[in-house]
Parts: sequence; C-alpha cells; structure tokens
Amino acid sequence: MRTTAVLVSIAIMGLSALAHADNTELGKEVFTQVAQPSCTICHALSDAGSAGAIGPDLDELKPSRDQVINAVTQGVGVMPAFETSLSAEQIEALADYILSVTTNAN
Amino acid sequence: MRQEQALDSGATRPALENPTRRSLLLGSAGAMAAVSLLGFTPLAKASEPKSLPDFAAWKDRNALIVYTANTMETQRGAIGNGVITPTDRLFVRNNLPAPPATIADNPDNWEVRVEGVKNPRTLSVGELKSMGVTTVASLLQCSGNGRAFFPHGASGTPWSVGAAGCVMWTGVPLKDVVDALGGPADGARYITGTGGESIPDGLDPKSIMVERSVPTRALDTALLAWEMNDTPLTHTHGGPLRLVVPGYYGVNNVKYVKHIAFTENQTDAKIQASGYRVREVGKPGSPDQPSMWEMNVKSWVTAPLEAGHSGRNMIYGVAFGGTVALEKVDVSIDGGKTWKQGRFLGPDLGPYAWRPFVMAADLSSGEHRIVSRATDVDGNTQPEGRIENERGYGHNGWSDHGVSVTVS
Repeated sequence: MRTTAVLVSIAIMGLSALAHADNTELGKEVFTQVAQPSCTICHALSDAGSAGAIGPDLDELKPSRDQVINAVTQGVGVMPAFETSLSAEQIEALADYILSVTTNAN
Repeated sequence: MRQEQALDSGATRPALENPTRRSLLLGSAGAMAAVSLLGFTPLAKASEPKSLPDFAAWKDRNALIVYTANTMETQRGAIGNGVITPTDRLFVRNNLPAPPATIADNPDNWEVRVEGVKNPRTLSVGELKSMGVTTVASLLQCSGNGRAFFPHGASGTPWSVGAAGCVMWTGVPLKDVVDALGGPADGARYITGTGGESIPDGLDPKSIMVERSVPTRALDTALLAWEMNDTPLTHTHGGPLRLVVPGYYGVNNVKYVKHIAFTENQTDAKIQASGYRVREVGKPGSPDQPSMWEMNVKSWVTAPLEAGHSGRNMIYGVAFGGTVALEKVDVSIDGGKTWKQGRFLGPDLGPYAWRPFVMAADLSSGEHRIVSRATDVDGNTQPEGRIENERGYGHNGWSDHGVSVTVS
C-alpha cells in the first residue's frame, strides 16, 4: 500500500512537472510574441534575450507571481493593462515562466 | 520558489498587511512542502546590494536606497540638517531610461522648441543664457513620497521619506523667454513640457512619453534650468535643460526638456491623462481627477531615528509648505499627545525651499514616538492620518511619518 501511494504521488508530481514545463513554454511565447506590445520592448529578461529598458529589468527585480499577475492584468504606471488582450491562462503561464527563469533554483 | 519571493517582498514592504498578500503567504506553504519532498531546499533569497546604474554611478551609494536602475531614494539618516541637499545624495526617479550621457557634453547646443506663443521659436541653451537668469531654492519631491506607508500595497516604488531633496536651480525664468517670443497665444491655459527621452519602436509614444501640463499660473515661477547646486545640470537629473516648476511635484519638472507649448488643453499623454491622478483605491486614473501639481505642507524627523540616550537630545527634521511659506513646525515626543514648537535651522531660502528644524528634548528611558507637524502661513497644517488613494500619492499625515526611538 505504502509503495503504491509513493508511486502514485511520484507519478502525480511527474505529471505536474510536465504540465508546468508546458506552461512555461506558453509563458515564454506570451512574453516574446503574443502580448502586444511585446514584453520584450520594455523589459530585460536574459532567458528571453530581451534588453528593453523602459520597465524594470526582470532578472534584477525577480518579481513575485502575484506582482507579475497584478502588473500584467491591471498595468502599473506606464505599463498598460493586458486584461482584455490576454487570457487568464496566458497571464498565469507568463507569471510561471518569469518566475521559472528569475528564481534561483539551487 | 514562489514563497521566497513573497516573503522577500513582504519583508521590505509595509504592504505585508495587505490581506491578499497574507493569504498568498499561507497558500504557498503547500508549495514549499512539495518542493521539500522533491529534495530541493528552499533557500531564502540573499538580499544582494544593488549597485548604482551607470547613469548615476557618481552618486553616493551609501546615502541611497537603490530600488531599480531608475529609482533611488535618499536614506532618511542621510538627509542631514542642511538647507541644501548635496547633489550626490539627491534621490533619482526617471520615468524613462535617461538619454546617453553625451547629451550633456555640450549643454549650450541643446535645443528647446517653444510653441503656443505669438512667435514660436527653437532656442539653444546658449541663447537662453543671454535671455535672463535667476536662481531659486526649491524642493524636489516625488508624488509618491510616503507611498510605503499605505497599507493597501499601492503599486509603484515604495518610497518612505527620501524621495525628496532641496536644491538650488539656476536658469532663465520661463516668463522672460515667453515675453521675448511675444507672450502666450490667446486661450492658453496650460504649460506643456515634453522630455527628450527616446521611445522604442512598437510602442504608442503617448503611452509612455514624459509630457506634463501645469496650469499657466506656474508661469510666474517656472524656469528652464541648466544648473543645479551651482554646477552644470547632470543628465542624471535632467541636464542639459530641465523645466523646473517650484513647489510642484517632481514629475512636472520635465527632464531633458525639448519642447514647451502653451496649450488650451492638458496633454493627452498617459502620464498626464490617467497617470499622477488622485483617486479612490481600486479606481483607474482619469483626467477628471486631481492632478499632482502643487505640493502640500509636510515634515518629518531625520534624527534620531532608532536610538537615543536618556537626557537632552536634539531632534532634527525638515519641513516645507509646497508653494506656501511655513509658519511653524511642532514636535511631539509622545506620539502627538503634547506638542512643542521647533526652531527653524539655517537661512530661509524662500517658500519653495524646505526648512530644517531642531528641537531640544529631554527623553526618559523607554520607547518614544517622535512626530512633527508643519503649518504654513495660510494656516494649512498636516493632518494626522493619510488620505487613502490608489497610487499612494501626496501623503502628508504626521502620524505615519513619525519615528519610534528607544532611549536607554
């Protein structure tokens, strides 16, 4: 029983890791291509190869997930709101992606 | 690693009390457990000291809190008790990346176009220097100075008290320039200044350009400045030429000014139309809301900040009235129960400058809440509380701006 439980939970974790990977891929696409204007115009993010300098350097800022979601949804200062142009799923994927490439994993 | 980010930002921001943030922290406990199961040890993110960006590399790093490349605040303890803020300690807030430093290499060659006057013209700084000159001491303060005290987690840089400094500006009175060009065109109600920052392709310029309108009543005092604190204005602070509107919040003092227009309407640039507007929490900005123009009366203590010794202590601070001269500043060492008038320190440099103040107080052992409350000659005085607003603008409540000092 215990072995099964462990196996099941490993399987679930494996699946969620896969799902997460898909999400970050989608997030990268949103960052570099889908969002208009493109996130890359204003934000530096080394993983995306962008060097925009209008908004904060995301490698430096290392925003939290809710910071990304709030900023993208509602806009901050000169940053426009993307609430109507991106889906909630796209915004969440974007947040997952930015977190995955700006957070120290070690 | 989400939880680390949330904890980290919470530690440096008073917005931790924000219920949304709190539930996020609770919610991420599960995520942390899952990460641990997989064998990763979540490490607290080290708070790496940020270095100064290249365009501000000459500033005094130890006197500043560096948030981002475009936002640096003067440490409360570095404000000192002089009337003039040393240039290398002055806060920096750029709405857009600064143009290259080379623009300030030959400042006399910089050109500004003046329109909305009888005889529109393009003038170089060299020409402006022959049209007139004045020097004014004026406080520069970001609209969001004090934002850190708002509990709703107002978006924007969490300035405490140090997004402010008092400097000397030297330049030509805008009125002299306008008079030389035949005066404002009929129907002009606003002075609209445009910054010379470059805007990347792919963006609607109106969405990010720094273009601000102030009412023409500011023409009596506005100047086009090429010096700050008696030295050529650095490009870090808007050189070669900056529109300075004494007594108005920082954003109206357009850096790298390349265009001045007398206009019937306010600009429709986003920074004016919906940015820098005071409105209720949760509401979007719009042109019918008050714009961040004249600054309000305000003060704060600069020393002591944390610890004092029992007996006689000198309590220092700064106070200002925005566009109105100060009448007095009162200081309380018991959180506002009793007040005693402080003494202004140093020369009075006019209504737009701040007044350092000092008050001697006998402090007994224990905790003291030291607060200050300024009153201008028109009778305006600082309120105790804050006026809640979406972006955390214009906070001058005396209670939040106090300090808790432990006396031993």
